[in-house]
Amino acid sequence: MVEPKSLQFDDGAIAAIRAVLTARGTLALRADRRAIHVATHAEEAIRDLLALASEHHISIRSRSGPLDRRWPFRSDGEQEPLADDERTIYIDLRPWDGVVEHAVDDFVVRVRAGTAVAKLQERLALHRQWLPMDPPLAGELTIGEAVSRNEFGPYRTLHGGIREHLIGARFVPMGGGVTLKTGGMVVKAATGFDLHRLQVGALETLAIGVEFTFRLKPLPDGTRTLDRTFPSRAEAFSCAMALRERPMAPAALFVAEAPQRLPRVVVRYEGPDEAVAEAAEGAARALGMTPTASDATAHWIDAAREEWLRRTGGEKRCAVRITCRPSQIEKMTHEAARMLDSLGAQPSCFAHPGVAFADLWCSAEPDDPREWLQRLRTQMAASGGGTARMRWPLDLLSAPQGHLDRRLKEVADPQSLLNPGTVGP
Amino acid sequence: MPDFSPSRDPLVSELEQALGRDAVAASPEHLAAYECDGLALYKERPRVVILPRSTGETARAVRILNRAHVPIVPRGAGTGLSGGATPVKGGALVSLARMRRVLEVDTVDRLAHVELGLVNADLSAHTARWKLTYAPDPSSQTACTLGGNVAENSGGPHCFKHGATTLHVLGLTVVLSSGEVVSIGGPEPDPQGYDLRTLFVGSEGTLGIATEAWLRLVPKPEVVETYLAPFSSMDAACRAVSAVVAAGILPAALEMIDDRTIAAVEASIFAAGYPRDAAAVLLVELDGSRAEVRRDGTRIQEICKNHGALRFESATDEEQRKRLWKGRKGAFGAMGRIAPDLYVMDCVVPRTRLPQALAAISEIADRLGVKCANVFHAGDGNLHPNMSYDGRNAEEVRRVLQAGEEICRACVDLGGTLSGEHGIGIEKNDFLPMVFRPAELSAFQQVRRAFDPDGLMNPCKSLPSSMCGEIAAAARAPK
Repeated sequence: MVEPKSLQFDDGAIAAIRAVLTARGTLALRADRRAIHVATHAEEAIRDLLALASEHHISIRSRSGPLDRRWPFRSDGEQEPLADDERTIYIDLRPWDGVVEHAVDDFVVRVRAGTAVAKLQERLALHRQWLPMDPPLAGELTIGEAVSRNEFGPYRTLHGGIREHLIGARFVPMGGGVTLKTGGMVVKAATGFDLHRLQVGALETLAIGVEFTFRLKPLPDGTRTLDRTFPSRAEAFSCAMALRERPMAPAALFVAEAPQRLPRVVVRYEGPDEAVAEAAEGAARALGMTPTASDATAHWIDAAREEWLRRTGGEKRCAVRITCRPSQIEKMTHEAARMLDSLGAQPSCFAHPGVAFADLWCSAEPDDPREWLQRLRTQMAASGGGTARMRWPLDLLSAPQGHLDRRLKEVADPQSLLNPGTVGP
Repeated sequence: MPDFSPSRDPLVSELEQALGRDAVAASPEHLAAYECDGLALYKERPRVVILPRSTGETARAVRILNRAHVPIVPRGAGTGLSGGATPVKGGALVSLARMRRVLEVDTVDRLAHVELGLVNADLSAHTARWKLTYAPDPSSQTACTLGGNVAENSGGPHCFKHGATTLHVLGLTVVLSSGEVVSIGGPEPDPQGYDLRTLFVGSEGTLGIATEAWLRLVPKPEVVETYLAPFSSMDAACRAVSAVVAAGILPAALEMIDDRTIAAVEASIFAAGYPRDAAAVLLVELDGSRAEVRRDGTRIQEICKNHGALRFESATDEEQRKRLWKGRKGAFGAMGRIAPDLYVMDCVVPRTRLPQALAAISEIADRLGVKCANVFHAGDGNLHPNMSYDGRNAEEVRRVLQAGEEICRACVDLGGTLSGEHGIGIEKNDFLPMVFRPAELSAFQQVRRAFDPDGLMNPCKSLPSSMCGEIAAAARAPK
């Protein structure tokens, strides 16, 4: 049992933190004996705070975007109760934003962690380029958060996840007072460990990413989006799998299901005008898909966002992301939906059959989320395999590799101070 | 000095007892065949070579080696070009050459589960009946193993569009230095925990021995077109490459071959019909739907002509397409005509810096009197300066090595890095401080310790020799 007194900042630690913040021109938004909340636009401040945290055995919680639900400080000035078993420096990286370098002819961009995804895309679009990803809430979601949470949208179908585009990063590890860099401005490298890609989906438990370098793609010349509702989910998934097999690969493909709504399949093609027109006509003819009213990119992203907002809405909720082999996606979403349904609320589902992911959520919360998650995994394993990760109410990095994940965490953060409680079973 | 002759070495006896005599090689004539990989500048004879038939046998062998505290060097086909599979003095070599099975092909999900001693091209040959292919295609793909590709994060011409090995590996079965077998990832797209695949692919056998993998397959495209554009200057050809990419076109491959390479290829069995009067030829391949390929082909032709292409030819049939690629992929072999030995270098620059990098390479080679030809993945900015030399001439070897170091320095100064697809191995481990600071190198070492606390896995590869002591120095000494 830890004595409460030891969980408070002593005068020496507070003085040291204040000195760092003053030297780095960073203001604490809030400071008391248990929590110091910092929003910083200085990389040096992050380095110094992490070094100091190691020295004084202080926890660090970081966030660079809006999706971290554990963040206790709300934008309306109110505050959620703080955890009572730690003293913590909360670092908000959102002010650390902007494009550092855009090598237009090389199709490479270097960007700070706090930059909103939509803001980056706007800037790249001026050169008819883009980072080929369409995560939800792109207006607020930052690059740092997209990396640390491995966020993606329907475009993952053709373009792959964020790790496919990430070619370098700078990140601050615990303790050292340094910024490490791996990868760089070249699109191909076999030089040293890809520590930058290791940050993808690691929920900032190994280091805090401050800058990321991405390979870009040209914006497509033409796009066509089609959709169709189906009387049953089986028919919807069957259509999605058929779309996957057609000669032109879909750029994006999803199946959306919600209570009191018929399952909907949406497919988007991109490429030369002639090619996408041909693909769209083929999909319409063979599968009865109908062109959507608007085909603008904004419309497309809004549609994805709408799904996301619905998925995270409600007071009490449970959200999981499952992944499996593509051919199993219908079965596995069915298993996960059944488990959510048993909580007493009808689930919604946003599935990417092309890449075998599905997000499911409902407005009820399990009494014991860990136990519930374990049951879901057991159920999936019994039904043919796949993995599940809880996104709400717990946001845990699950560690099936067990001791290798733990050893990696131990060498990166031996005192377990960085975003504690995030690596779970 | 311990006597490691087969009859006296107790380690060999123990391994033979555990795995059978046919899985262990220790006679001098056997060991001689394993003393180097494709980087023949450095040689070392292993203490013993182990040829397991399964993951279980690999684990059994590694447990024995671990108990005896013997360094372990994994090896595929030995085609690596950075010395990643060069034996370590007194160490054991674990060759996956007998683990060549395709364990499963899931045609619906476009996945293959394979043993990693499988030769790269054999996988695509196996899956061709389902119109599926494995995208990474190193020049040595008819010989190199998928395990070697995983170790070095290998690329190849078609990685410009499809990405290098790391983007095609979904899961791995790995034997750690303790002998424990672990799964990293699986047939699903993302793991639940840390993405350890990203660490393991390209780790050059320093974290463990990958014995099996889940690999992503891609559907064969509806149409493939291959074009040849000769240029009167390399500079113009490089500018054409940048213009193609800037136009928003994503070819499957964008390959460049310089005049010296053309001469060597055309005089060899790999003759492809490249024009001997060109300063450079650009080999472009497009794949996709018929409409995509038709449109992009027309645009590329315009761009090449606007940048001074002498002509623009399309392969008229599959046979001609294969011949054009045979010349490109056989280029390294063809250079055997120039001198008895060849040092195939590998470095990367941002694509727009290719002209400066090539100028620097030319200046360095001329100044040091080294015969250097270039054949490279222009779309990726991935250079392969090929230096022909006679390994019996120590002074020439010294100049070749100096040229290699200076070329690396020039590429790093241009914003590039030491390797695009061959890895670091022992070829460039002492150049790592050109790219990384001590804090980063120390982080790499920490990662290695997390996987291999005893430091037995391919010691001294991919770290500066100053960080790994005497073994590295011994391994690096040119023989």
